[in-house]
Amino acid sequence: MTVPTTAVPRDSDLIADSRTEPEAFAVLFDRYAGMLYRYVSRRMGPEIAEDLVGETFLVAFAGRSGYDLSYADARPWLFGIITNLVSRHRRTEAAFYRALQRSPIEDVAQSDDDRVANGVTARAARPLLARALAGLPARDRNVLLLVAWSDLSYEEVAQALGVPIGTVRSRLNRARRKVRAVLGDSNPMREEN
Amino acid sequence: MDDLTMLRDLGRTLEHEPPPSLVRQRQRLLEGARPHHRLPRLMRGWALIGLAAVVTAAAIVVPVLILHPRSAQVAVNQPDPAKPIKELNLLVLGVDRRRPIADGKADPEGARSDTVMLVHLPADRKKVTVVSLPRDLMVLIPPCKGLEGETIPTHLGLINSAFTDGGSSCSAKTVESITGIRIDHVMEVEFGGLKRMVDALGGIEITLPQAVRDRDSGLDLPAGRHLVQGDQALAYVRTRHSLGDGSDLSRIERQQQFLLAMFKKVRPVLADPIRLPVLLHESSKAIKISPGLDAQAMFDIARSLAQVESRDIRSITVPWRPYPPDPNRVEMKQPSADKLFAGLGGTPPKKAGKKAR
Repeated sequence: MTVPTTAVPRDSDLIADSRTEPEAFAVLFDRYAGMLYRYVSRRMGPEIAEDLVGETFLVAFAGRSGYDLSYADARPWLFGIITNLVSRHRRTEAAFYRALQRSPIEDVAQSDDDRVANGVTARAARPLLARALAGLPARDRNVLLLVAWSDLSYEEVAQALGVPIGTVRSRLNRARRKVRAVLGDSNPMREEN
Repeated sequence: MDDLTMLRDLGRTLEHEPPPSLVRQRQRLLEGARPHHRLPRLMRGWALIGLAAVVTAAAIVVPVLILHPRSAQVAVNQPDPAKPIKELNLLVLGVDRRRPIADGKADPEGARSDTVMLVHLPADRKKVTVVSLPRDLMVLIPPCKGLEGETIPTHLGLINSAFTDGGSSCSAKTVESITGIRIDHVMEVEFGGLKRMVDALGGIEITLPQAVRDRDSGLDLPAGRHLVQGDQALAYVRTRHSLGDGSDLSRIERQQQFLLAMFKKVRPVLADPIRLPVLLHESSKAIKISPGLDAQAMFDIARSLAQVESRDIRSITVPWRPYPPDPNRVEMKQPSADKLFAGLGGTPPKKAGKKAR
């Protein structure tokens, strides 16, 4: 089953429209602000997330004339912008990971009953993961977290970051190797390409 | 479990749902879609002002803008006919209306002025001086009208008890009598309101040298940098037992730093058409000025300060020394305190230096 494209305008259509009717861009906000907020709240905490989402759309709006309309899906573009903005707040992100290494789980996230089973393992690993993330170079961390925490494919991650897909793979492998090293050798290693 | 799965699990525990306030960012986008207005010069000037500006910015500019949201831009564009600028002394009181629970003695109002600052703006507005008066400062409180209309005779007491006894007018009278400086306006800033202002700003970043767990103020945070919101922010400026050397004096320092951090946070908000009204609204609820200032007067003050830069602001604590009868209290150190006040145009009474001994 395919959804008729006339019913739902593609992202690229909205962007094209917004060049003459700026308000059309707000539809893009309605589509993706929540998604971006969730993503960045994982990386930086909720306090700053709202502002970063707002900034992302301002930057996107300002750059809408340069968008390549052959890409129907605007998500990689938006994730690319927000990743750049996150890099400007490297200290905040670092502080967030430092806090994660110390604080008990309840302080940072709301507990969720049906996640308890997974949560136990996550809780134990949390300080280690936070330390591993904090120790990664930003470019490797950007790849790793886009792969793990967004729904983008490798190809879309490459598009978001403006690097070849091979670079995404090599950065991802390097990042995962470092994470596993921090987690210790107790975990079965599974190479994934 | 492999590392990616663990990472995804971690991500889920960290994730927050978008708050309803995210809609403000949509507004921001729509605003951004329109041609940009240049930031009024007054506001850019504010960006350079330090602590005193926080106090005065919050207290002065903000109400102006509430009364006349567009007036700032209009008025800045048309230079005012040279109007004589007068010297101005403002007394800023941080008022805490919590009812004390653990306190043994009854406190009918439950209101205390835990922060007392004198802001001196000379006529040329070249320098701004902010003098903090520790709340544990023992001073001679002149006769005041009590809250029930009774007259409270002159007595020796803590400076902040003047507020509890007779409200802001008694605080002003006390400060006038010990400094010899005429107070033009008193600004009461409510701690509870401060909390809402901090929230409207999206939190304030603080740095803790060590983990803090303070039962009295409810502050419980690990060491490091934190973005504090409402209650935590309030606890941070209130706490005194678990930070610094536990004295009110180290708390004053912390409050000054906090206000500076707050001011830095205000800067971008001033340019943000969505967040500014929220901040303004909260600020107006948090600040009470007496005797009141009309919009023009407030605006004139604000404008006269627009050229002041942070290096022109002197922020000091009144010279003090331990109060011999009670080591938990302090008294003004003479003659340096009187010298300071004289430098600000005050004529401290001769006996002022002796009364607290």
